[in-house]
Amino acid sequence: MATEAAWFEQEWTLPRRAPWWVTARRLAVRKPLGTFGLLVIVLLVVAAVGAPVLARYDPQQTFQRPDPNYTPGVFNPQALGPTMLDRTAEPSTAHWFGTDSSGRDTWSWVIWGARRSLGIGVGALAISIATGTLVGVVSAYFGGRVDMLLQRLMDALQVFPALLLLILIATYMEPNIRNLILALGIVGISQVSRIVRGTVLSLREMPYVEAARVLGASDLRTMIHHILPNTAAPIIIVFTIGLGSVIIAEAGLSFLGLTPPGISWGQMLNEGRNFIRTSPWQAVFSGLAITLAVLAFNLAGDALRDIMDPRLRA
Amino acid sequence: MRESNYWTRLRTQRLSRRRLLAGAVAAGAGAAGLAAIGCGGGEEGPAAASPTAAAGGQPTLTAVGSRGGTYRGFNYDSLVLDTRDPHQTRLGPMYNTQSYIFSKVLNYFDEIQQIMWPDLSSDAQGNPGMPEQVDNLTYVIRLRPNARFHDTPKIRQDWPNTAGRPVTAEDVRFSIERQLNLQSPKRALYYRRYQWETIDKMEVVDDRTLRITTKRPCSPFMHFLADRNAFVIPGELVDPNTDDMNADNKMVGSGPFILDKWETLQMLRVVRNPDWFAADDNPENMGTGRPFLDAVEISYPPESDSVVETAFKTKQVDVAGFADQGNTYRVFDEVPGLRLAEIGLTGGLATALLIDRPPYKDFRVRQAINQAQDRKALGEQMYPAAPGHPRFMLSDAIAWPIVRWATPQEKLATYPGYRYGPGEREADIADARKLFEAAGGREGLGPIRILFSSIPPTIPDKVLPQVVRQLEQNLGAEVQASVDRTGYTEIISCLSRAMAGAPAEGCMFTWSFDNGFTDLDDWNYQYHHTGGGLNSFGLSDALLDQWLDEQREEFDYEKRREIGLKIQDRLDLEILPGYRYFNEIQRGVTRPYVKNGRSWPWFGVAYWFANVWMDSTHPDFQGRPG
Amino acid sequence: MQQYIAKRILLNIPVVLLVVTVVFLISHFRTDFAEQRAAQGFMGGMEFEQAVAAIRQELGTNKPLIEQYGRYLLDTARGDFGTSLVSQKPIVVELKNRLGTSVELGILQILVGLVISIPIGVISAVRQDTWLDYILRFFAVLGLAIPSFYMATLMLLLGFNWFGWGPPTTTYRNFFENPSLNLQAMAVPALAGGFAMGAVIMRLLRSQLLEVLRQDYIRTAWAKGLRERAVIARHAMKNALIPVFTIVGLLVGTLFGGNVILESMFGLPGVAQFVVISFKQNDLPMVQGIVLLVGIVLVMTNIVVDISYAWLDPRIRYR
Repeated sequence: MATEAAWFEQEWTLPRRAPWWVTARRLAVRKPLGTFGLLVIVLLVVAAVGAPVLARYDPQQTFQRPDPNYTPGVFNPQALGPTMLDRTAEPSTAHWFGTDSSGRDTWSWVIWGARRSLGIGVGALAISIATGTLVGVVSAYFGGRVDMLLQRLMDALQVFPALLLLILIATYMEPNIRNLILALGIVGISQVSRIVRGTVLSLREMPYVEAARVLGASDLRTMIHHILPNTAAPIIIVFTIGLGSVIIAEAGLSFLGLTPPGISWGQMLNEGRNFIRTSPWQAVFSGLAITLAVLAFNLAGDALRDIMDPRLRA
Repeated sequence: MRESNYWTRLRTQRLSRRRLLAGAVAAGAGAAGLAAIGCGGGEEGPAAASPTAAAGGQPTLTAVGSRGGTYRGFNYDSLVLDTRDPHQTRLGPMYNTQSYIFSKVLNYFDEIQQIMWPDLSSDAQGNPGMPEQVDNLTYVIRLRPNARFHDTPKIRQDWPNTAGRPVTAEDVRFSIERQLNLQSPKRALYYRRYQWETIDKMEVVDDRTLRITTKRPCSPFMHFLADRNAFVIPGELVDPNTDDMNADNKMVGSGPFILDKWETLQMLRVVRNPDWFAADDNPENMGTGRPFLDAVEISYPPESDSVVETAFKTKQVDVAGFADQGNTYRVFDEVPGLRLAEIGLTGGLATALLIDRPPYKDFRVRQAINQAQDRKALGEQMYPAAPGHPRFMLSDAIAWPIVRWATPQEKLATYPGYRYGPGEREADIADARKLFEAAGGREGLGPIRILFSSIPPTIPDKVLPQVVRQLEQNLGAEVQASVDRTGYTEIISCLSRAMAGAPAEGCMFTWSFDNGFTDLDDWNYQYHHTGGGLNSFGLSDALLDQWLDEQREEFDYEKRREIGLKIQDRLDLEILPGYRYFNEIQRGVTRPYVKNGRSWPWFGVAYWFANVWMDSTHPDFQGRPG
Repeated sequence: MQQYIAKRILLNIPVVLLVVTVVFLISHFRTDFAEQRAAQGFMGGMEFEQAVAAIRQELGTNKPLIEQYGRYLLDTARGDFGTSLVSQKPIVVELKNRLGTSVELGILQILVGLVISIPIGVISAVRQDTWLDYILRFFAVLGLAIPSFYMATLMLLLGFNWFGWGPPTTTYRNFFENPSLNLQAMAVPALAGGFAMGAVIMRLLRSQLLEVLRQDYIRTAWAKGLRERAVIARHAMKNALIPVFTIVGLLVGTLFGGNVILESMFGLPGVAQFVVISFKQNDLPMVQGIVLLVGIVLVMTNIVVDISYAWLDPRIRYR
């Protein structure tokens, strides 16, 4: 019967993209671990950015509680005034995570610590990625001698255990934040360059690159327009997973006392581990913060990798 | 002429004061008081927490029961920071190491009460006795006839001329005179020189007799003979070119223990000297045949209270101190039968100002900063207390454990900056702000620059942020804090440039840690006398000089104490060349089978181990690893 | 094969050179700061400026950079990696006794890592995408995320609260002197470090195994009716383990100084602890010397690993 329209007369509608909450739900179902990681990352970023608001107190502010040994009017050189330092207090409404061994609010330290961990992490990774990408792309694209030389340099950098290299840098350079970021950045270069180089090498053979060359595009143009954008995926993955390692490295350095003083999770952990039997809050929450942050970045990175490039599945 | 001497001496000797900070590395972690041992004897439970906690609470001494065994503990004795030379080092734990091995003319039995015992010193008959004080200028020191330097196969191999030879008066003379040698390349390191400069001449009467005449009557002279590094060394072991005795195998003395193993930053082991001259002295009827222990083994402290705790609970160490004193009390509660030792330490925080130039030339500024600082809050940061057990008390120019000389606590609590009565702190702060404004305030004076030492790390980590906050909030000042990352080298170099007349903005106000002392003279003379070798303040006050000279010559204790109190008052209330804060009450736990232990306010007292013994019949001794 | 070996060695000679250069550059980045630091411990009675001058003499930092670089290369070639400012002994002497401890700890950690990771990695791969897989992968990432020093502290607590056991911490005894005491001292750091290592190995093993399991020859094995266990053990594991073996080779890096925190925390007298000690004593030549030495040793280790890899997997030789 010709009442039904012919196929070319029917209305065509392009498939609509699903609303974002549907995509999100699908993501959550397919990659639960990755979603969890992503949520934690968002929380961390919120904490880092919103520290002045979210931290309830000034982190260096110390708190006092009534001193039971004090008797007004009676001189006691060991209980000079009515209050004493409120150290290692249990979590309470006033102090969500309790107070640390110096009477400071642990919650405020954890929030501000996020800023430093993320800040140093992002800074270090920025250096690693910028330099590493440059090296990787140049190395892969030009090949030959340039490639050999650069790769040997990367080998030389990578061979050291990271902590040893960091100690060497800390020994010979002033221990300030800038140098810390520099050091952590340097240590990560070789890994980034390796991944980028691998990607570029495989991309170089792609037909569209050949096509661009044939059409007369210069080397630089080819690199920037065609190759670099496609390295974005592995780089993002490196970024997320690398952030985890940098956070641990910074915590390790703080633990050894090699970082400049300041509010850092590693330093909290170092201070808190001596009080862990009597009042574990400082150590537990800072250790948790580090663990959670690294966990989140690793899980998100893994999920990202699975989505973006199934060949790199771990 | 005097001018150039003043500057030369200041430049070379002022280093000395800062080198003391080398001792701080260990002191900050606070195992100093347990340098010897914890309580022993018959005490149960902690000594009462009172201002005289340092003075009292020592156990009764018991006669030896079982002999032998190796005593084990954690301390920094194996740390080498500057040198091993017994007269040149400033590191507290090094004094421990050396006091096992070397003898002195006298030793302290009780540092706080300044009760001395003879060591090498003997009477005319050769029995243990104090040096003879012929008149108020002359002393005759006699040495024990059977005092000999250590003799082991290894020492005989390395130093055949030294092994086993008698200790002579010439050795004592040499030990003192090398510290006075201004031609020595190491002259800046002899920071007890000020003690020996009181000597006019020394005369070796015979092999075992030395006659010393002082220039002027010197009341603390006996103390000088008993002080921390008044060691008697075999002179031939000193390298004549470099003037030092800085090698493991040169640690050859005549003391109760012989060096067995020294692995830097790992452990130190000393073994009993079977030929010790004082072995059968039997002081206080503790017994003959000292030392009673076979060996003492001190391991470098692990950086973790948990590790220390497990070591202590499994009896791998016989005494333990913790970074968190809450752990001390908890372990004390958990393990039955332990002794809790408590002692005030004499080493502590010290700040110094350059008061011969602006801005600190203005007394108002110094006073304002003094009152703006909350010493109690800083103390709580530096020495976090276990609940219910405060861990420090405030000190002024002389640390509070030195009860013989220090300003009494009741009096100190009335001084500005030390007052915590109702409304007093607020009044001090308000007053400080007024003084600060009157002196120029934030605009007129500019930023307050403070240089903090980084040893111990509690200074930059804990104290620095609070000091900055206090000054900013209470004075409205702008504070620029920096940290001497090398420990104290930057402080020294800055100060030395300052003394040479160069601008020295960076170190006009410095914060660091100081060694502890025993006698009134040590605490004040070198620091505050015009031309004093440790007078890095640029302080020159005629009245103070007069009193400082007077106290040196005053033999009567009560009168001398009066002068001392006057000196401290002038420093605390009228001059304020720097600030003192508080001193720690250190606590540790000991096993009950350790007998005759004593607590000490600072390092350098390891000779006492000769009197310690471990009761192998005690039930707690069971299960102790051999 | 000969060619492969020769190629690997040749390729790595510039790497060694670059290692020396990297260490040199870092340690001469800011000579004034380094001199000040080194001078602090060296002072022995001199003024600070004098001490700095003395240090300059001692370390040779007053000469032009090129000359210093040349001497540095020469010294390294001769095997002189530096002399301690503190003890005046050459670094090789200082490290002699410490090497054994670090190597032992590293080996124990690798063993722990393998024991943990192989079964878990296999199960996780074989039961891919099931809940078991997710849980195991979660724990693997946890192993990476928890700092080893944190885990060590927790283990100590548990050890004492549950078993009443504590590690011996007073006098370290080496394995041949007293194996029981030695292993007890190493137990917690070995476990804590091994756990982290296990996590890394597990992830790699899992991914390698997954890749192998997709291969045709595995499918053939299934088709032939072999049981799961046989398939995995006989066919899959062998091929999956080869890249894992190279990772383990790289993890050998921890044998030589990677265990800085754990050795310090437990007072184990190894190479890594010595780095921290030297750092704290401002014994700069020692820090530099150890890092250099470790770097060079690791380059050589890499060569060995590469060669073994090629020997195990013939495909590599012809790449």
